[in-house]
Amino acid sequence: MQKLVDLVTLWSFSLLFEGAVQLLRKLRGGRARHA
Amino acid sequence: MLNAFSVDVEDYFHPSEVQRYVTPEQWDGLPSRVEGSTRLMLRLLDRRGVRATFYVLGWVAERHPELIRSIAGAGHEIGCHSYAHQLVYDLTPEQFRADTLRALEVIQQACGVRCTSYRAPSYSITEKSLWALEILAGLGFTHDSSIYPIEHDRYGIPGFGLGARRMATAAGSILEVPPATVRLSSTRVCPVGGGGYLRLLPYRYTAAGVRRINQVEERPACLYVHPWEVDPGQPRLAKGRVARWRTYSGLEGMEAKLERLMSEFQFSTVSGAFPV
Repeated sequence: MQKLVDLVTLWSFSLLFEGAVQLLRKLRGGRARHA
Repeated sequence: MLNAFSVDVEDYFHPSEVQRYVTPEQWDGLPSRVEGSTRLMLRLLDRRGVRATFYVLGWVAERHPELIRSIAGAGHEIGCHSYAHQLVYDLTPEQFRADTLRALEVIQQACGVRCTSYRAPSYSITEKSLWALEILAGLGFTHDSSIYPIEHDRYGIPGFGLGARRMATAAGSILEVPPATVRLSSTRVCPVGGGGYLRLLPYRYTAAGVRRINQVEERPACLYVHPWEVDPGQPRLAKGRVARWRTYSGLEGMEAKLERLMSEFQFSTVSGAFPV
């Protein structure tokens, strides 16, 4: 059970990171286009 | 299983995130806090009976030799974290060699130890600075912990093996010890070894990562933190919302999280957990 919980925890944060990085890149790209 | 715990001994104005706003010429004019935060880390390790590897910045060793002697005297391993915290891929091989030699010299003067373990500032040994390993092997280093096997905006070699591995160079071999990462799928590797992840995310994230590395992947994990990460009173030098969040979030809860981590897992030095 613990192994499953760990895996879910790691996957959740990994997907969260990915979303945050994509958002950051989009924001930076947007700013660069406006500059 | 014995994991490696490491501390990159630098002041709050040394991280790459802050160096954009503070030049090395300004360092001596800033109030140093490395002594207090490193001693706090030493007390924490002492309470838990943990011996760790302290990667010391030469600049710090030169100004705080007594602190470096205290670290060595407490039985911790002394490693080298460069002299001036310059990114390896921004240096020429000659400049890197000179910086490393200068660091080795001042660290040895401070505590009498000739370092055999190296960690580059901000994990800056990447595809374009792999030449550094040959220089390190030539200088007598047996361990390097400077390659992050992930994709990141400032460092990393995606696809590099996750476990420790011996790297052959023309000057001899060196054991590369990457910081802890977990493989979640054939294309997804998740970083868990940094103090930043412990600070910014709930404790269960780092704990889940170390457990998975130890129990499923059956290998030791290498973790790293910085003394400034247990210093909530430090001046906020980084600018911009993202940089400030990355650098200063979670400072208050870090000491308690480290205590918990050390009560749950076993830690040793880098060379203890990853013998040559």
